[in-house]
Formats: sequence, C-alpha cells, structure tokens
Amino acid sequence: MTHVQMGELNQETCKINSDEKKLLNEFLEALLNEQNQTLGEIK
Amino acid sequence: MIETRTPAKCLVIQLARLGDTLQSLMALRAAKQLYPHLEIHFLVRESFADAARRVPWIKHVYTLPSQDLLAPILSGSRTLTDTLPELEKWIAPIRAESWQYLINWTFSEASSYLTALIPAQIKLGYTRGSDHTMQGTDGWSHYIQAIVQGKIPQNIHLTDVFTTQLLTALQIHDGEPANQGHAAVTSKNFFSLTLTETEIAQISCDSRKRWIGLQIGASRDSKTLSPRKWAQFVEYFLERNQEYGIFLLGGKSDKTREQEFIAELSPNAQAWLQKKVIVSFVGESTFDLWASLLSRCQWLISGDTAAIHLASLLGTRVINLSLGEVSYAETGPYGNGHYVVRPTHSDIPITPQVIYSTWTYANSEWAHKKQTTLEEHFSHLNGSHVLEGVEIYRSKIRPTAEGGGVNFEPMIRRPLSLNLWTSRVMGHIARAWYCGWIPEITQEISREQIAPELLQMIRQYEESSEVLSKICVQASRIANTIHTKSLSLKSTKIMRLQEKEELQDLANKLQELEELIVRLGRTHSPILAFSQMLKVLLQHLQGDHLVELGRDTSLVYRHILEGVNIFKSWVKFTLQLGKPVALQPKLVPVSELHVHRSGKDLSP
Repeated sequence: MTHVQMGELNQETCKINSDEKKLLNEFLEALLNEQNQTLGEIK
Repeated sequence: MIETRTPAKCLVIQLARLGDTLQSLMALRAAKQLYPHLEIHFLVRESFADAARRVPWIKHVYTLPSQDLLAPILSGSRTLTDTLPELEKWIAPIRAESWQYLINWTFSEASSYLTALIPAQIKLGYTRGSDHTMQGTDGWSHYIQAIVQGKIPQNIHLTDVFTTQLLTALQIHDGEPANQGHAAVTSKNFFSLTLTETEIAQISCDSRKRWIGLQIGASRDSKTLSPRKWAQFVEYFLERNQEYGIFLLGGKSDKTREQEFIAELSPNAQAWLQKKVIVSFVGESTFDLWASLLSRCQWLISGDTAAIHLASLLGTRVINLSLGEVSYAETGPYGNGHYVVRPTHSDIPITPQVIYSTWTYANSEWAHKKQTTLEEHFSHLNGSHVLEGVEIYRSKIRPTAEGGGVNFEPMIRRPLSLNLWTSRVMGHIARAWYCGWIPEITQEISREQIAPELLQMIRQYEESSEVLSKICVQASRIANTIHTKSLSLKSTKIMRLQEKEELQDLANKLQELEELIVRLGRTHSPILAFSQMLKVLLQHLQGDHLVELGRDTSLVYRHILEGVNIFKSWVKFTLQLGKPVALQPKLVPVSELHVHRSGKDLSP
C-alpha cells in the first residue's frame, strides 16, 4: 500500500487563489489550536 | 564516490518540538548519506531552528514565526483575517520554489494545510484533499494516524518510521542509492557549532575528569525526577566515582528546579559546587553550548526527550528515565548501548540506587561483556529487591535480517505483558505492510516470556481473529462485486431499479461488516488496531465513481487481511509456545522421516 502522491508543478504557484486562501485561514486556525503540541503529546 | 545526479530539492516540514526536529535530522542524515544529491531544506518553528541551522548539509532553514503570528491574535489586538496577508507573504517564497519532495514529518492537523499549500512533485505525510479533509499521502502516514496516534502499542521507533518512509519514496522515484551508506548516522561532529569565548571558558572544566550530563527538567514535572532525587543521585554517584564530574543541564524554565536541587545537597556535597565537580549550566545553554557539553559527556541521564535525541545524535550514551506517558519504543534514545529505566507502574518511584546500578552495569559492559546479567549485577550491589517495580531495556540496532531498526531488549527476565506482545505484533505487521517482508516470529518471542495470564488473554483472540479474517474476505468479495457490477453500468446516475437495489444491498452488507469489525475491536483490544486502520483507509478512498470505490475498498480489506493473517500466526505461535514441553510436536526434518518410521532408510 506504499504509494506516493504525485502533484504537478504550477508555474503560477506564487499566486494564491480563493481556495488556497481558505486553506491558509484554516492553517492559522489549526495552528492556534495546536499551540505547543508535539507528536508525543498528540499520541 | 562522485555524485553526478542533478540535485533533488527536498523540503522537510517539522513544526513540532525540538525532540521531533532532532529525530527528523537523524533520519535525514541517513537519506543524505544514501542519496547525496538530495538538497535538503528544513521548515521549523523559530524557537527550535538552531539545531537545523547547525547542520552543514541542510541547504536552507525556513522558520515559521508562530509566536509573532499568534501572540497578537491571542491577546486580541489582531484578528485571524488581519493576519492572513502576513502569512501569505511568508509562504510566497516557499511556494515559489520547485520542490521535488515535500516531506511533512509533523503529523499534525495544522501542518497538513501547509503540505496542501506548497506545490511539489512528491508529497509525504499529512496533507489536505480537494475537499480540505485530512489525507495521509502514503502507508506510513496511515500507520501513524491509525496506530501511533490511535494509542495502539507498537514498537517501531519514529526515527525508523521517518527513515523508511523517505527511503522508500527515494527508491521508487530516484532509484537505488548511489552508495551503500554504511557510515554511522550519529557522530560528535553532527553539528557545526560555534562557541563564544565566554562559552569556551565555561566549558573548559577539569580535563582529567569524565563528565556525566544530567538534564534535570522535562516538558512536564511527571517526566523527570524531583530535585531531591537528583540531589540524592548526585551524592550517591560522586561519593563512589571521584574521577567523574557532573554537568547540570536545563533551560531557563529549570532555574527554580536548579535552586531546589542545590538546596537539597548536603553541606559536603555543596563543596563540590565550589570545586567545580558539579558545574551548572542551567538557564545559560544556547543550543551550541548545550550540544558541546553533551558531546563532552560520557553519559547523559535524562527524562527529557530533546536531550535524549541530542545525545543520541552526538554519540553520547544515554540512560533514559522513561517516566510518565511516554513510549520509549517510539521516542527513546536511538542507537546502540543506551539504557531505558522505567517503573512498571506510574505510582512506583525510580530510586537513585536503581539509576546508579544501571549506570555501573552499562558503564562496565566492556569488562563483563554481558556475561554477568543485570539481575546478578543488581544482586551484588543492592540485593535483587531493588529491581522490583522497574523495567530496564538496552537499545540495539538490529541487523536487517532480524527486522532492522532500533530495538529495546529487556534486561530483566519477566513474562511478556499483553501490551508488549501487541507492540511486537504490530511492529511485525507494519514491516509486512510497508517494507514488504518480515523476519521469523521465532526471532521476536521465546518460551520463557510466556506466562499463563498472557496465554489466557491470547486464547480469546484465536476465535476473534478467525472471525475477523472471514469478515475481511467477505467484505473484499462484496466490494469487488460492486466494482464488477458498476463496470457493466452505462451510468452510475441512471440505472435500472433492479441494479440500483442490488448495489444498495451490497453497500448495506459492506456497512454491516464494517460495523462488525468496529464491535470486535471494542471487545478485543489488539483487534482495535485493525478497526482503526480500516477507518483511516476507508476515509482516504479517493475515487468519485462506484467502479473505483468498489475496487479500492476491496484492496483495503485485502490489506487489512494481510495484517490479520500475521496476527493469527502470532496467536497460533504464542499458544504453541505456551504448551507444556512434553506435548510440543517435535519438528523433524523431512529427510529424516523415513529413518524414524521404519528404523532404516527406505530409499532404494
């Protein structure tokens, strides 16, 4: 079952589209929730 | 060997703490030795970046300014929306690079968004799907999610998980390694360190002495000894070993602990501070000073994971006080000859005598060459009663033929607990799933470790594992039938009522079987591993059409079945080992059968 996800490089990667903006917002929210959390503590 | 391949740009995301950062660096060192053309970049939180910055073969270190971003939000002076442009600006240069590999070794919700936001040809670890749900990109990520974070006992060290995960991807996409990579991964020169003149003066302690490092703090009080215990240990140790000195190590947050430690020392022991036999660096340590001190030490004694990993990287031997809710098998010291001391129950204290006796045994391995057992050694020093309530393990890197990776060998002969048994079974299953082969079970378990209590519990799994394997076979067949029937449909949206009812019926049966596995897992704890893995794998199914979903679900159940079959072999083998010796069927080589049956060779 070892498989690796392949992605395609996008030359326009610097620009953030609206979906990516949502991802960025969700990242920030998750970061707030995970303050000081380590892999060991998640376990 | 001269490396001729074009550089492969690789970004590693590690947003957890220093211990996880150091484990990642150890795994990367192994990959870099095998694939020198890897150009490794590292993304880490600012507070833990120094370790990565001191590694000469790390091309660039990106830092996530989490405090700068989050503090104003937490204080209420900024909103999430206000912060987004800043975050967008921060991520832009990272997104602009052409990454061949993006490896997320953080295994957290937040980090998965970063993996999704940064384009790369090959991604490993947690990411987000097109609907923003969390996805593991590869088998090891599913294992971390279902087993490691699902609190199932397992015995594969996280450094080995990281290493195997990356090397598998490199082997698939970059081919066989350029060299064999036999060089040691750990070394005193792992980091390129710079000390100030003051720090050099600080570190210039009595060069005739040997030094022991004590990391007195940990992320939680429950993970280290009390200041009184540390003081008792130091006195006990120095009274018997005058050729040694003690480096007291710790961060700024350990200053109170340091003062309490000093207050606990007897007046005689206080003099050791004046004579610099005990030298405290608590609260003063930069990363460079800390690493320099640890590399000067013969031993580190610590309950703190970051210190343990740093010492392991530097080749300094470790006595790991494994206290509180930590898994030494997953995050203990990596390498050969480290020791783990752990109470059998959280209420039982670890005494300074136990730590001291473990150290004297470990430190004199060259003399006794393990001809004396640890139990005999303890018996000579203190009496065997001191060992009650303690588990002691010694780390060893196993040869590949025995399963590879770091293994913690028990130094006290005790019956195997169900937890330890399960952790070995899971480690075995993981190797089968993700490495494609497994060592013989006979190498993992022996008769003297089997107690009646364990047999009693394992007998219950004989039937449930049989049921589980039948469910997996049936579910795989049903899913395959859904796949076959869907293939013959002209459309999955428009179909005859009879076809729709048939497919619905099959889907309901599949649902019932999945629920049955969940129920089995609830009643029989080791089987929980399979129900959790099933849940994770089914969540990761990516097809939009019945044809793909049916096929992939069938593969998922076959994958689970492979693990269940190994589990069944373990159950069978353990029960066989537990039988009285006289009843054990003796295995006779086929070539000898004729002779035994007739008393003479029947061959013409």
